[in-house]
Amino acid sequence: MNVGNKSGLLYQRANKVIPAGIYGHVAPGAGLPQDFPLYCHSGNGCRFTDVDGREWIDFMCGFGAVLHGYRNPVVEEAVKLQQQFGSVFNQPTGLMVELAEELVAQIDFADWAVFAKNGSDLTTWAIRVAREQTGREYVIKAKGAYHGVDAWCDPGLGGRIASDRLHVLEFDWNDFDQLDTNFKKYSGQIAAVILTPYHHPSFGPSVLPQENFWNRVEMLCKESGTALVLDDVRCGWRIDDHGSHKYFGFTPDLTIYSKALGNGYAISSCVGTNEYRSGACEVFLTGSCWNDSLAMAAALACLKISNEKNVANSVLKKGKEFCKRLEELAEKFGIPLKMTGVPSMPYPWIDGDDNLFQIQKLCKIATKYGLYFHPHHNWFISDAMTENDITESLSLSEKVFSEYKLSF
Amino acid sequence: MLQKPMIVENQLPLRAAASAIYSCAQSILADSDIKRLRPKFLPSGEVELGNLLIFSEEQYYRLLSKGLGIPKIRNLFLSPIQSIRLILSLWRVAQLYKSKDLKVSSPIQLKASLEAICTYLNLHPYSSKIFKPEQGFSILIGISNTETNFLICYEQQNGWKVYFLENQQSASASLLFKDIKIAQDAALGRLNSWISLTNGNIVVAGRVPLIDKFGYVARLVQKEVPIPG
Repeated sequence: MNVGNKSGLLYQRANKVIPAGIYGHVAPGAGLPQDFPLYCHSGNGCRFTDVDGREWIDFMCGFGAVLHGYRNPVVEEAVKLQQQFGSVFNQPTGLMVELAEELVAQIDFADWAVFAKNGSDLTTWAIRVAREQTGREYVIKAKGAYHGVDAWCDPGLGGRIASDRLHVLEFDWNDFDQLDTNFKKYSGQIAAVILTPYHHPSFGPSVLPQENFWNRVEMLCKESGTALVLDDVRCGWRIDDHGSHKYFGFTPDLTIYSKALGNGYAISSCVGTNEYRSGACEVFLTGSCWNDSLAMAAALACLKISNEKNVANSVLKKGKEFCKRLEELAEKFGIPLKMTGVPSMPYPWIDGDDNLFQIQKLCKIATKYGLYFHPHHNWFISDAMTENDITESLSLSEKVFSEYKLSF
Repeated sequence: MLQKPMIVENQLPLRAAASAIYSCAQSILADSDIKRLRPKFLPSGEVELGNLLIFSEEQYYRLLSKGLGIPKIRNLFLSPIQSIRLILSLWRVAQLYKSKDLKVSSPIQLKASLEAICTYLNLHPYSSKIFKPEQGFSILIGISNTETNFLICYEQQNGWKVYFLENQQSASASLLFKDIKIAQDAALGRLNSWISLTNGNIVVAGRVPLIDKFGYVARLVQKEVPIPG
């Protein structure tokens, strides 16, 4: 941060009135505090401009919240149309019904849908629905998996009490035997298993499910009367247009979506089967602006775009092309860079760089060339990214790799 | 295995401050005087220094934070010369915290604050719990362009411990202060760590979860532990 630029000045002002200035996953310390812009001004397509007027080619997409590009005209038009009528009222608008119908039509196992604003709102609610439905207490999650900001799962350090995680068990991703052991140890007490479609932790490479992992998990949950909850908040509409479970070939009982669902307009949804409908009716669910019709209009537009343009396939293809060429380029410079996970959400990993010094150095150099490469989080490929954007990004990456090599 | 002492409730901040003072003493006092500053925490909650002076918890806190603690009178009269020598030693440590010679005082104060942090890493229930997964890792804390480098790492026998480093050898994470003034501000709890990360007063690299946890415990120590002087 240059203390004299707009970003620096804003941050100094922020520290007087906002605890820690900027918090959460976008806190400066979570990325590259002296190199990433601290405040954004505007965005268009797959690029954004920071408050100091610098344009960046973006590989984070608002940390996944934007799939169809910043200021996507179809989404913006839908929002603009609804703005004529208003956003939040005493009761929901008809858009809520329309959106629930659309989700139920598009997600094969879904019999119902509810809405909130963030992934966390509904991962926590889904756990409670599973507890209500099963009459059980325990929840199992994968170690290192992110499911939101609530006390049972948040990755932070502050504000915890011992009882927060008393009924949360963990297992190593892909280690089915460990999961099975937990089921045996807590037989008849597991309300839910909550997992992401594949393992995408921060600070480490992404790991895809092993063959049959999902089928075995699904079977175990079914046999035990345990809810299988899919946290599709990050992956939703980036792997499959009809839910990431389709891509990996299994059926959950409850799934939570957010991020790409609203293309930057705050909305989340939990869909579920009839088996969990009565539980869903009993667990209180509300929020001040959760009936926001603008976000629902945006979500309807997003679903339409994804369906019509087969967007998941499109970003997978773009990501695959970019990752393949980036890895080849890195190899040319002798850099063992591997783009892990699914290509629409690749996580960059340098072999042997367990403590992240090298990826931090590489991403730091990338900032000089206007490439927003995050060293600690999976990237996101925008569907607004064109072949030209990819070519330009790779051309700049070549300069980054060259400078990185020279630094040794 | 690290033998954890029984801790009288709420004494941990005093123990951490005591370890900071002891660290300073090691840097500036003669061997015979250093020993006197190793405190003994009595089951009664009182604190004994050099087998001579006994302070109530409140007076010991005052002694550490303001340099003005009143010991129980009896021992003061039993060994007046030894007692005065001990009080003088404490005064010298307190003076170090008022010194304007940053080149000398800043590295000593930094080491002292790291000792206080290590006390928390070893004895504070939540801090030691969150640091348990980090036991195989180490963090380098240093001052840029100086030879002041410390390594904090875990050993089976000693728990989390601070070591001087000859050079910036590899660690799992590093935290470098821009200069001796910034390092002193950090040691004395005057630095806003959030702003410092963005303006380059602190540069961090490496294993982020370790840095995050270290920052959390350091801020906790900053909040709870009295700073000498």
